[in-house]
Amino acid sequence: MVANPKDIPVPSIEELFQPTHDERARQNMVSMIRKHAIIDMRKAMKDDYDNRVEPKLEREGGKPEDWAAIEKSMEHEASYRFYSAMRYNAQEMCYLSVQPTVERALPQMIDLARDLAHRRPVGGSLRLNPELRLPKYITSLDVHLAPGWVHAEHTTDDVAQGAVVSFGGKVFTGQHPYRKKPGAVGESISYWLRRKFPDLKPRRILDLGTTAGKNLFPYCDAYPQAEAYGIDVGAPVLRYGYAVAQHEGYPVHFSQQDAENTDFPDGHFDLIVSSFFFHEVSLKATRKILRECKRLLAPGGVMVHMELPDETSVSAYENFFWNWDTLNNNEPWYTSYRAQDPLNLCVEAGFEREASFKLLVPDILTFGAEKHEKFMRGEIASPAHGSGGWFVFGARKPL
Amino acid sequence: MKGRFDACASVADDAQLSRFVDAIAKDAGGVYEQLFVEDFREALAKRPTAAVRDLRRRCSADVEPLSIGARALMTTDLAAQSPYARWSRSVVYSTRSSEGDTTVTEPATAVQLPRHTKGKRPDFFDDPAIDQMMTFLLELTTEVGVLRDRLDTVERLLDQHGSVTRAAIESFQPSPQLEDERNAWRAAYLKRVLRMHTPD
Repeated sequence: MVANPKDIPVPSIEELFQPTHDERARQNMVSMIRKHAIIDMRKAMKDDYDNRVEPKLEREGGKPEDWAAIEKSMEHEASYRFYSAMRYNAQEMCYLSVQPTVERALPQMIDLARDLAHRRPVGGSLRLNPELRLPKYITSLDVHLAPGWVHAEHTTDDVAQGAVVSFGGKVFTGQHPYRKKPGAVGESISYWLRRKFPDLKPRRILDLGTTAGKNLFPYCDAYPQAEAYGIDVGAPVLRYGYAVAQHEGYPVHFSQQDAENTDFPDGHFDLIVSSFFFHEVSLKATRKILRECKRLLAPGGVMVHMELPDETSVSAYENFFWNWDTLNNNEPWYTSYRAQDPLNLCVEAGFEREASFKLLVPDILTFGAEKHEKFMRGEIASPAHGSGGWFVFGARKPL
Repeated sequence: MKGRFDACASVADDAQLSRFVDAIAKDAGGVYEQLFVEDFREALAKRPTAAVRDLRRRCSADVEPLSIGARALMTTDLAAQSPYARWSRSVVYSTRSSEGDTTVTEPATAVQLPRHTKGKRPDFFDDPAIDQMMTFLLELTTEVGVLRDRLDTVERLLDQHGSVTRAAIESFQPSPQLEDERNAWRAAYLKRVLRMHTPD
């Protein structure tokens, strides 16, 4: 007989990802190209706009006033074209660079994921729904230029997209100064949440669009007494995520559901979270999902969503910069989502305006605890979204 | 391992197998070893009687050699008796053959993941050929970086051991310091190769 299952080290599905010498070299090189595009080329383009394009237009009497006018003024400039070409190619290469390694590891990964889902060594559960109709906004194009995104299934009990999205994501953020660690968002927001709502003692936490759960796990650490639930429409990422959670010791309950219409009872959760989620669903879905959050939250419960800053929160130039992804990163709802004021979205969903919030929360890994205290006292501001801070919005349901 | 040997004929009798499991149970230290022992005991308990085994052996001898379809049917049939059939370490594919639908059990074969993205690809240049050239360029830039890593690995192995093998290159694990060094090289290399003209 095996001793207490809690004492058994659970094998890691991530360790089955074993790149060859050259695959690893390629993945590391792609991380650097991605960093060159998103940091260096982004700066080169901004400098070009500030120092040359805008002054020239100003002299000619037509300084661009909004993001669309800036885009129009930039789209034929070399800085924009090469920035764009590098970002687009780097994005594709993140996933391409990990696919051969995943293909080779896949039979073993599937084996282990099946085994863990069957044995459930640390608890939790994996509930899949083969009947679920995937939303059109998921199936009609590959979000983030990831072929197959979170949902495509290539074989029985497939976990490939879980591995591709997870390891492609690691290549993507590999050299990013503020995204050194998967789960940085969940870690930063849960850290803030405990200080912002010290009375909040969630019994159950729900993560929407959880993918493989990386940004849910830090909430399990912040609220160890709570049961954690993660939902997504993609089965491969949930199978993969369940295996990762088992290895990392988190008894998460993963289920394949559309966040617009879940099967959880009313008032089931005290905390609902999401990371990088709403801008990837249609605006209609966003509104329905926020109403579903209202239904699912218990009195006194909190929802907090990490999202892109809305249009009114940043400058015209930044709006131009962020909205690039709409057509160029297969995220068609990006611009229309950002055009909404999140506070209005909360109110439309039935939350009280006074109990709704939107703000920048510091990235705790780079900001540090000492500065965070000053931030909580209102003495210093958080860095901008994606540059050391994370934009969040949400609301608390009255008791 | 579950299910993998369900279709194998065994010449050992129950007492021999039982002693064998007791012996390995004493040495089973790791998780998977312990799980293996558990599985083995379970399989042993569910083992058909000697008479049934003998009957099966004689039946299968009559239909030698088995066609692929028959062998698959036999395997799935026997595997289905295991409570862990769903988790057996082989992947069941549904394939459509000329004779209609057949389910063939075989080891997981290579899955080819899609390399193309669904959705319209944007053009950033007036001539889309330049967009294509940018892909060629960045892929080639990456490959030079890969070659450079490989050369660096070879040089380091030669420094350390005075000789090099492909296996040694494959198993070479760069230390965090070396990875930092390589990243510094990669960043500087990209700055050189992707040097932008100063705008007029």
